[in-house]
Amino acid sequence: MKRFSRIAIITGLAIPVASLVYFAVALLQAARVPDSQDWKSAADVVRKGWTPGDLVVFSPQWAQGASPWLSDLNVDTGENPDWYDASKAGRVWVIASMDGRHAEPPDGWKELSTNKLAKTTVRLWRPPAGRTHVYGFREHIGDALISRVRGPRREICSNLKDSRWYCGREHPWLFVGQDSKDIAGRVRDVIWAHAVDKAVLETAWPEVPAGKTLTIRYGLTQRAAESREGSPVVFKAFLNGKVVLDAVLQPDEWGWVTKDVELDGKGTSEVKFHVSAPNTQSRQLCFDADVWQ
Amino acid sequence: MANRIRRIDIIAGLILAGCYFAMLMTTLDIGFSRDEGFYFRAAEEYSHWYDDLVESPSKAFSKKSIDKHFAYNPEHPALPKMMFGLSWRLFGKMHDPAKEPWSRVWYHNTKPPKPILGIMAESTAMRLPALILNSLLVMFIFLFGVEFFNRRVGFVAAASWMFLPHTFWHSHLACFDMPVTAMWFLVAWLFLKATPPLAERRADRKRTWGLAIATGIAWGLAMSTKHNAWFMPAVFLLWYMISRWEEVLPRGVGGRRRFAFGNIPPAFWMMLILGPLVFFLTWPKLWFDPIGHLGFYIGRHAKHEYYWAYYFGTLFTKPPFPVTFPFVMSLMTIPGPIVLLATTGLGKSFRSWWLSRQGRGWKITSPLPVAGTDTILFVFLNFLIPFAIIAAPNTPIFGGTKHWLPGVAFLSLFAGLGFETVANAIDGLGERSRCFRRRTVRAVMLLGCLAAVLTPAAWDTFHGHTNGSTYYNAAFGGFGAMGRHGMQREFWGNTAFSALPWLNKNAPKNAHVDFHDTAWDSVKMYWRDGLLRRDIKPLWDFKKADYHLFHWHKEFLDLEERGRKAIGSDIPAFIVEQDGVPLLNLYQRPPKTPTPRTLPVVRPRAPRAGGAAPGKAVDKGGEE
Repeated sequence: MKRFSRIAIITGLAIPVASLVYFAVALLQAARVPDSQDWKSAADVVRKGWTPGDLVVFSPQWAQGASPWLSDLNVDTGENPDWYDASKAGRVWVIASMDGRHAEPPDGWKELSTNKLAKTTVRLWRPPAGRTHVYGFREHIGDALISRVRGPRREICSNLKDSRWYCGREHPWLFVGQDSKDIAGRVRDVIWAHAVDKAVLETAWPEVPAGKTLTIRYGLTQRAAESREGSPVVFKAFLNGKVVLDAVLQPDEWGWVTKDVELDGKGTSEVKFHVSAPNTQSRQLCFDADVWQ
Repeated sequence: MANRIRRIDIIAGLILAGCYFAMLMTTLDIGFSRDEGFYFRAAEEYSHWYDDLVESPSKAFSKKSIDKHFAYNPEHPALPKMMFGLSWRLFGKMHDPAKEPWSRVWYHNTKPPKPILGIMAESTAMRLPALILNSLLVMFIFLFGVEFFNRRVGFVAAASWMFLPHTFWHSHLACFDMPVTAMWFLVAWLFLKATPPLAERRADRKRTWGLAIATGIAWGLAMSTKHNAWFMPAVFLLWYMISRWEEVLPRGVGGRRRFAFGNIPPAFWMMLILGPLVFFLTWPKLWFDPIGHLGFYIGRHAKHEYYWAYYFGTLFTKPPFPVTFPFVMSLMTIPGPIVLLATTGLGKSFRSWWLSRQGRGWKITSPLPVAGTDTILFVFLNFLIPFAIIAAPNTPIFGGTKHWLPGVAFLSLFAGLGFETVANAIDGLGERSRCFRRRTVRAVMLLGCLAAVLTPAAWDTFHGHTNGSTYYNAAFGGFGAMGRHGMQREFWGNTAFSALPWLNKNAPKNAHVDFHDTAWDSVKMYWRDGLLRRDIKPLWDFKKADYHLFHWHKEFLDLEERGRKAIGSDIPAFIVEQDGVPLLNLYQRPPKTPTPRTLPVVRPRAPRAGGAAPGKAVDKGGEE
């Protein structure tokens, strides 16, 4: 009688075989990592074809080793890609390295060129044609009217400093204005609108230029979601007085939600946002909006 | 009955330990983590107590002297820091303030002591006791394997342990996590040796009591190393109650069970008596306020603040923490072949236990080479419980893998057992094929298989050893797993080390550098070791800094954004990366544009038509 079964032999020998396969994978992974010369070569390709308004992103987005060679250019250094924001640029350079799995932008983008280098690939993309970015709410925060509504009372916030509106004196977090916050996997440029105690925080743009689509993006900051404090936040958007978005964000809700609203394309519109929460502890709501033609 | 450890085994164990020590000493290019910086400082301050001890022993043992020298870092036992300090005083090459007056500020009370032997860098001298103890752990693992399994298991277990990138990285540091791992293993080994079945204990009382005393002393030293050791009696008690409960509850004359007080193993008594005594004697802070300081110590660690852990894209900041954390992190941060071996060893052990329990032991064709019926359970509990402590949803997770390393040391024994499956397979080939029947052929095959499993692990360990705490295995994408799976990248501010050459080369004289997560005491050691230019001024305020070192932690990302704005540059001037994953971004303040002598004339521009977006013009550029 044999002491060792066929299965036992196969199992036993599978371990060194699997180890060798593992080793090959490990060596391959290390071999495809670009060195500083590879990064520099990729950056040189970008510089050569650069035109004002371009943007550089990476694929995978966290592999940003080329960025020191792109010092005076517009580079997205967020942890994860945001193709929506990237689509505001005229053209987008994608420096892909290693697996480069996330190199492909969504449908509608057009590839203009590809440069395969030793360990990187530099691709140039054009965002979807047929639409133009007309108006960014964050950039036009100075045009906004901010108020806190408590029943019939309305408190106007009129102190604008460094693109932030304060109701009275400057405050570390009680303001509506430009900020950059870690939300849903990356740092984003947003409009900070922390919920206010016993009031509805209203941010209104009375004369938004005409366009075809109003795109609203909103979410709680990473800190707010992970703290799991306070109560659900109500976030509403109004177009010419009509509710076009009515969302409730749970205390631990993680995400950066996009909502498109059709516009009639004629004349200016009034766009208004309401933020409120019964318990405002750490209710760090942020949003942004754009009008596209 | 355990196997006898022979002289040749001890020599082999010492050779393995020596190899590990050589591996550690040749890879000292590892930055100073935050906690290491704090322990450098504590070690230096504590070492001045030795001066009191030499000058006037009675003064040294006074409350005044103890309070003066041991005031810093009272939340951890003093023993490791006393050892680091002693080694520093003996071997460290301190600066001479007469020749280098600027070096005074790098030392406690601006008084660097005179070197005694002065043969190594100060940080290396501080690290030396840990380096030695951590090397001895390799020998402990080997000898444990030899004694309770066989030489092959011992060797593979020890070699597996040597080639774990995270433990290898931690083994360099003047910290407590690896020393307490070594002490846990030593205590467990001594305890198991001291606690054979009752009949064997009675047969050799002298040996039993000798080992019991050694266990008690070792446990006291383990408690004086780090608080992980407090869990050990519970592990041992659990094992004893599962496997040997009949010793203390034997059947009496009438068949009824009675409590046999005298059958309690001496090791428990010695742990109870000698452990606290040694703990007390080796922690001077306890000498004059034992109850008060012990209360502070327990309270501090029972209510430890929560550190943040980035785990599969989620930043965990408070309980409940994921139960899977220590298991999955180990799966990801132990080289693939070792994971395979350990899993096989665990599976094989479980199968043997299950079949024996079901009375189907005859089905075990290749029994585990284990001495003692309860040894596997003992090893299993010592592996599992350190993991389980961190897996508890309310236990603070400190970001890395270091807090369950005592369990990993026992897991390596399962890796050793797992290799028995490979050896059995080769023997099986010999049964089936004539060409494999020759011993030489099988020996060569065995060595080949051993090389096949250890070489990838060794490569993993040495490749990127400077950033070894950020290692993830190739099955999860290698170091790239940090980015791909949203896992913790940098842990303790040590990556600044890799940015120092760039700073030394590029920073202008007297440049101000915001070191971010690197501790002040770590920066001081960089100066002392000549790794940082002495004119470079550290500060922790990016608004005033010329350079900002951003250690890539998920929880710091908001801060990075503020840092960029304050520095005035969105793009890092230098990146410390490991296999393409940025670990530290160095931001440089752009040079100030000189004010023009005459103000430029600003002419109003013609209004643009239709509020055209910048993108429109750019599109046109793209078409050109």
